[in-house]
Amino acid sequence: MGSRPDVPLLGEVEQLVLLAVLRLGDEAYAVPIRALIKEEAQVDLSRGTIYVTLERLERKGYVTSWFSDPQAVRGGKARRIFRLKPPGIAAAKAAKSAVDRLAEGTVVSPKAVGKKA
Amino acid sequence: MKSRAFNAALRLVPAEWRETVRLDLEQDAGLLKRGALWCAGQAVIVAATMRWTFGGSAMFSDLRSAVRSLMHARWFTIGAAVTFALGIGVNLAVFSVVDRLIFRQLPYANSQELVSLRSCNPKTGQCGASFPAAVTKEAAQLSAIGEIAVVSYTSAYALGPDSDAPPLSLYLSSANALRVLGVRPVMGRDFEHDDVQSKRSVALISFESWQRRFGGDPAIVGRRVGKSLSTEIIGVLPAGFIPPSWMQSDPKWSGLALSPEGPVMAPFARLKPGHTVAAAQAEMSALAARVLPPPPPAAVGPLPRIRVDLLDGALFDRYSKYAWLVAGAAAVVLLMACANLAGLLIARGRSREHEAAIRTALGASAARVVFAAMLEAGLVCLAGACIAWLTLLASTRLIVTALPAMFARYMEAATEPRVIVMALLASAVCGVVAGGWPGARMAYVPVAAVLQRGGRTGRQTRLPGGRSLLVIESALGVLLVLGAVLAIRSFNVLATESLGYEPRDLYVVKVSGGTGRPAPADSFLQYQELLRLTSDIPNVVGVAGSDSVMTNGATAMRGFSKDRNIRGARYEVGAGFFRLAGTELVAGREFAGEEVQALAPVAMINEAGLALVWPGVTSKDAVGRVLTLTDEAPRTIVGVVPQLRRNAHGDPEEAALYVPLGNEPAFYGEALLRMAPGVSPPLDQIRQRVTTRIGPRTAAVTSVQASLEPSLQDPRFRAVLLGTMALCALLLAGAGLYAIASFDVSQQRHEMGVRMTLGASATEIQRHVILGALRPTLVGVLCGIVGGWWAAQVIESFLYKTDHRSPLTLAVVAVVLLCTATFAAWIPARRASRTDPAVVLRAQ
Repeated sequence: MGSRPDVPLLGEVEQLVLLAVLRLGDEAYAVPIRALIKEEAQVDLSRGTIYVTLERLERKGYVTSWFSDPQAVRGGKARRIFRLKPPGIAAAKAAKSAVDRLAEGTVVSPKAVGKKA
Repeated sequence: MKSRAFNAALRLVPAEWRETVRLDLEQDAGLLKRGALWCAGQAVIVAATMRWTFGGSAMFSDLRSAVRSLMHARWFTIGAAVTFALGIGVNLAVFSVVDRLIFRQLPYANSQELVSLRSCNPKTGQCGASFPAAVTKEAAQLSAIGEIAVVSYTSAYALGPDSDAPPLSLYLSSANALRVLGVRPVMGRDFEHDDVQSKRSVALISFESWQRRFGGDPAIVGRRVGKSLSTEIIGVLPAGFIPPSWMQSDPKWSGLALSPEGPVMAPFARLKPGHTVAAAQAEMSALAARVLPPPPPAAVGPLPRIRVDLLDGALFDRYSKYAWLVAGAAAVVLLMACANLAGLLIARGRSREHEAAIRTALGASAARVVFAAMLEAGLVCLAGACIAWLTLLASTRLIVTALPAMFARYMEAATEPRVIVMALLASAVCGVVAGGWPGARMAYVPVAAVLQRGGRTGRQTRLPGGRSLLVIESALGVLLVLGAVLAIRSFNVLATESLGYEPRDLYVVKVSGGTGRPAPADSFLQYQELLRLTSDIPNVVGVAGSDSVMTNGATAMRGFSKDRNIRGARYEVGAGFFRLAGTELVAGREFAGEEVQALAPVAMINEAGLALVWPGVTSKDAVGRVLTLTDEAPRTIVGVVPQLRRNAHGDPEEAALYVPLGNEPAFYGEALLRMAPGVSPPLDQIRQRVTTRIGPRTAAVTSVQASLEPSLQDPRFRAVLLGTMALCALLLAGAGLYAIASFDVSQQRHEMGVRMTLGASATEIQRHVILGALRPTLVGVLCGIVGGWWAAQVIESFLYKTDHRSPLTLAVVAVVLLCTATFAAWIPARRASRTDPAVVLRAQ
């Protein structure tokens, strides 16, 4: 039995949402988060799932949110923007390295990608 | 995007996410070119997902808050729970009785494949228990039906040679019965071929008898019962096993005994795989036509000679309609209890508008407010269901003694999981229904307006929705009261209507037994001796001979006509029989002594028989006519007899022909005795005389009056059942009306104060309140009478001689409802009239 990691492990959907928030930066609100996950990960998450995951990440202290000013266009509206907090970044890193460590030496390791098995 | 549907849907989303979801959905809708309805649908999906995930903690908090709130309003909770207990209690009791009859499958393997076989008269449709052996022998050729099994008559088995305990009542069964049913004994073994070959007397007892009569004795297998301990118990049937016998419903049924080879009675069989009842019926009809002697041409009717029916239908058809009626009446009571609870919760919700507005202002979504109201209603329902269940548990024995035999036999215990599940399910459904309406009202209170006016309840002086609930409750109440009035009137008719004879001080002396069966002529001589020996007993007013007129026995089975082409019965009576019975003949006279002695070709007929043989002929004109029936000499009609109701159950009278006693001497054994008023016949003296003058025989004396009593049990039960439900309905309607009128009065105190200051008297105030409550009740009563007009036709088919169109019945129903409503409204009206205007106006 290994020792319990300092940073709790993330769920699959949590990882996806966390990474999407990281990628989107100042444009990280629910609509582009969902679109990015669909485009990059080929996973079509429902709106409800996105909100539930964001709520859960916020409760865990991994993300923070605030309402932006209305967009500087005609009829522009405010958005609820999400941003990763340091524990969120740590959790994303921990999740990524855990996967990498596990994949080490296997056909799915980053180094092996592109080579013939 | 402005849309009421979208805004309403957004209110279901947790408050902290509502704005986010709105903005995001509006953006998506713009990109995807979708409208407001799409947004509303998406919002509902998002809300459902979020509430499903995060609802747990909120639900717990709502539950805690509901319990606290109900405990705070203790008297409201107790009142609401008790009135709801009334409604659900009736339903639980009814469910435990009718569940087996209408909702559950028979406890046999693949019971939908089992069929009953009955031999019927193709013209009259009358089916009997006996089954032609010729058909049974050839049944193996049938491709649709497997082997035939039999569970028929009951037979009594004493527990031991000197046992005083009630005997076991075992149904005689063929060896293959359990195999055909697909049932295995839970202990011991099934009947075997070897038992039949060695003519062993063996029995399987029911699980319930094993527990009740033998205390669950583990060594039951191998135990011997019977007067000479000749019958061996070889196994125990599974719990809840139902004997597949449509012929009788013996509440004391305690198992099966292997039947010696004999005539086939009431058989049943299993359909072979892939065959339907219709296919089996077609095959059976073809077989019957081949192996049975052809019926007389006049007897060929549209009905089959052998009927194949699903066993389920054959066992319970007679009762299932009745059971559905009872279940329907109980459901109406539950509906009323639900409406009543909704009314109470609306009234309570109205006084808690301020609290609801604060919750909404603090961000509670509409869904959360509605859910909280449902939870509160559900808790009240659950409390009511607990009260009802405990009452049922405590009163099961009492209910069983009051039930007719058929229902008593199949009543389930309160501890049966299905009864408990039903209680929980009904509570949950009623909680949703009764809590949903007031919850929705609370969820959409105008927050700003309510908060501005503080704790005051505003200008509305009447309970919104209260009137509609009163209309519903009154209409449903009318249905039940109408049913009760009809059942009580029907019972009254049965109990007081003339039976066609005077049963008081009338007794039947029956002699049976003896060694060997005497020749018919000797039997008749013995019978005449019985009449002589009973006639000179002290206090005997008179004795008359007859065969089974009072017990519907042997000669009745012979049929009206010998070719059985007329559905009816034939009885043999001696001279002076009807005079002794206290029957007033409709026309003509009864047999003279000489006519009976000479077996003259005379007959008497009843009115139903007259209508059958000479339609349109009056009773007076029938006297003197000559009746010619197939295969017998013509008979002159000397008198017309009224309807003789031998069992008071109110069935339509069967055609009956009366001929002089001794026409077909067989095994007569009954004498009709009229005693001096209040004196019982001396049984010991009769027995002694019978033994001395006839021989070793068993003599029994039955009071005709007492023998009528069991047949009144069922109609009495109907009257009591519907009466109880109507009483519950009146209590519920009264409680609902009281609650709503009280609420109105509390809201109108200021108005009352002003009226009284302006000179209104206490009587005027009372009239104002009572009329306000009576108006919706009157509307409900009218609606109920219209609905009742139709529903009563259904109820009437179960009752004897009632007329739902009778203005008196409808007037009684309306008066009962309006009186209840007046009384319920009078209590708060009286309180209102005692208001001190100075105090009320000062408080404002």
